[in-house]
Amino acid sequence: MTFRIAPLLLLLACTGDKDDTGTVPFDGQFTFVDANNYSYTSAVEISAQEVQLAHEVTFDWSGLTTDLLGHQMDPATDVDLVWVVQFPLLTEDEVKDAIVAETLLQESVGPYIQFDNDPADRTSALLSEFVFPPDNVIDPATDFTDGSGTWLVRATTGPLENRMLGFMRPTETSSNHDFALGSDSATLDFAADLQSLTPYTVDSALPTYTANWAALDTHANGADISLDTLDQLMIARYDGMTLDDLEADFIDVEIIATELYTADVYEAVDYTADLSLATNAAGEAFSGFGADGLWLIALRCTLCTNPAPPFLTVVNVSADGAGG
Amino acid sequence: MTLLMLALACVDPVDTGEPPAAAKGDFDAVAVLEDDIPTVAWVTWETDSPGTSWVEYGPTRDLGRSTVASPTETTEHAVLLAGMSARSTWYWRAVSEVAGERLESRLQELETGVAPRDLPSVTAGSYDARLAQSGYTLTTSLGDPSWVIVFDTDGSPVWWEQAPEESVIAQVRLSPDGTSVLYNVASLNFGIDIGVIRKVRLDGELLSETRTEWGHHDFVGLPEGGYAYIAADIRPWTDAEGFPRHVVGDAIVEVPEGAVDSSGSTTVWSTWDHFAVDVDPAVDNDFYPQGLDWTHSNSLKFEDGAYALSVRKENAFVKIDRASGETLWQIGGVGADWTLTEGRAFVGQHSPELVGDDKFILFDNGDIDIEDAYSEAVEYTLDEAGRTYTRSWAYDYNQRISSYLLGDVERLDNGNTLIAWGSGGTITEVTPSGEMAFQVSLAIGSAIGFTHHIDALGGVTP
Repeated sequence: MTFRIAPLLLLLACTGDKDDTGTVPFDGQFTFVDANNYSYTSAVEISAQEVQLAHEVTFDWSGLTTDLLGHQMDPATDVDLVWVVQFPLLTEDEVKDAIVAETLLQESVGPYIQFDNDPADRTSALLSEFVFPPDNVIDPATDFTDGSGTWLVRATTGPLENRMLGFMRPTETSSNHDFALGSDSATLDFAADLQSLTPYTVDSALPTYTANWAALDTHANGADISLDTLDQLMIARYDGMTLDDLEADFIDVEIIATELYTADVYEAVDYTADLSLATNAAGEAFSGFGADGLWLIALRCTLCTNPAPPFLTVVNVSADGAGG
Repeated sequence: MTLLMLALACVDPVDTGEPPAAAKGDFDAVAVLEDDIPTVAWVTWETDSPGTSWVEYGPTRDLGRSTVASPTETTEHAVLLAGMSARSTWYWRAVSEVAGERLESRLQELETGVAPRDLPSVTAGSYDARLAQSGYTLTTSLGDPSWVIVFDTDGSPVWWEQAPEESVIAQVRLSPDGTSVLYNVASLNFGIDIGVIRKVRLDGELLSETRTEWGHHDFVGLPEGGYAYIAADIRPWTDAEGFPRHVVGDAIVEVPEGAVDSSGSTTVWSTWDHFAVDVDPAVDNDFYPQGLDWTHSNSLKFEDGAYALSVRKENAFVKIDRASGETLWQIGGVGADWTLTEGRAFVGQHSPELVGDDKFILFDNGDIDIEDAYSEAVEYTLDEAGRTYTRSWAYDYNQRISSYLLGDVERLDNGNTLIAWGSGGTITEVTPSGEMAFQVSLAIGSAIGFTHHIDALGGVTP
């Protein structure tokens, strides 16, 4: 599906009349700019386990019942792949920073191997069972050596969704041949600021709403934003919650919503979408902002490894039409 | 862009009556975007008298780019317009030369669609217009799935094709007329034989599919039509302990375009006829389910009646006469006819190619099993009289990548060298002095296959 409603918006943009106070009443079009965006910082802590150099290793993830984000999971059925990835020239800190900043490039990666646990539904595997199809390119005898760089162990659902991470350190002094990936192997912390942004105030009585994000330059993490990665529009209502509450539980901002509407906006050629395209779990279309609750609009990147939305803003609802 | 459009939309229109002649154009032309690849459009128009056909286009009203003019004249013109980046506005004008007079359509706009969501993202690291060869990069990504991708100097995709499930695309080439892409497909795990070469027009239409039994890694188009490709040549072999095994060597096989089986194919040369089997059953057993991985040939070129084959696990570059199937010479490896004068010998190389009369270049993967391994692009100068070769140029990207699979190198018209760093997921274009002219990286999860610079895409289909 392709959204081609820009001509309509162009007309709307030229027809707004100023009210008595000199401000342009909100006409239903959200034109997002950086000032509307929240900000966040995130950090990942990944524990390290030593294993013996040049030796077979048993990987065990049976204790992985809570994932990186604190969500419950089944280690047998939710872990589809376990990866062992070498970063020859990066330190553990550099790998952690790149993970949260989404800046890991293929050129940083050395050989990697994976254990395909779908549909095996196992909770442990020997290193020798890991492969890089069609060839196994990691040989403990030659690759698990001092100075071979940083080794990251990932458990994922599908190929992308990180459920848990761990660093493996091959050392000469270790006699350990086991590597456990458990619920506390890594944690991902967010600190979100939803209160420094410029919120929108909208009229609850407007018949239609559209959003345009073409003018965004900056990701909520402070980096340049890539508009083409924004593929999901999210509209959420929270009853009985404050911005402080949302900041405190930001990792679960989708899960704790009282009402949640999403729309696939990847093909929004003009970076513009009609909010009525968003639907809730029951398939009902978004019909407008009610006067109750706290409202957020977010633009997400569903293929990114960091779950924090690149854009998110607060929508205050006014019943008297004094939007802006 | 939207803000600019808003501003334009708010300017009072000026009633000029009839548009000026230049704005109307000499004829009407229409551009229609393809549904599957919405960065490609067919541009069609008619002229009263026969004329040539081309389209001038560009990202601004100044245009600046052009398809190649058709060699024949017609009154019904159809040009395949490609090379436009996704999700952007392009301007174009159709042009015909009729009886020596230039006729053109009015300048028009075209808004391209979006690239597939799961197309591997290409991150542009640098582009120096003073140093880089302008044009596009044609490459393959080896992830799951595998893709053919054409991207511009910004790293923006302009064309793409996804491999079938559980398959991999290693080599891709542009047809000589610039309107089709040819690529090979092999099984992801080499456990089954699904080898084909597909020829796909830029509008996405499959023009031909040629069965290439046990084909892998590389192929070339032959001057008279049809293809030559590298095929796994699997034969029984008895090891030192007397155990019967199967060993996978390689052959160069020629096949007519559109072949559905091997009945019309011809084997030109085989590693079985040139090298002594050298495999270790304990080591070489994890690539091919069909047998021990012996020669692992990985790239094929054809020029002046001879094939140039890279035999990875023999560390050898072999030149073969097509007509006789005779091995003309071997550089590198056991039994080489040429001697390296000094310096690091290439190991596990890809894409050796003769350049001019006395040089060759290749991607030297290097010995990936040693500490501090690194890959590099290397040029060697040949001394025909002494049968020696000497390193005359190299670029190692600060020894930051050790590519354990694939890799490619191509000498460009401007003297620069285009290097694809295989599992390093990076493409660089460097000057002879080692300056970086162009660099892109793929997101984590995608290695890069064979890679080519292309000056232009699209034009009139034959």
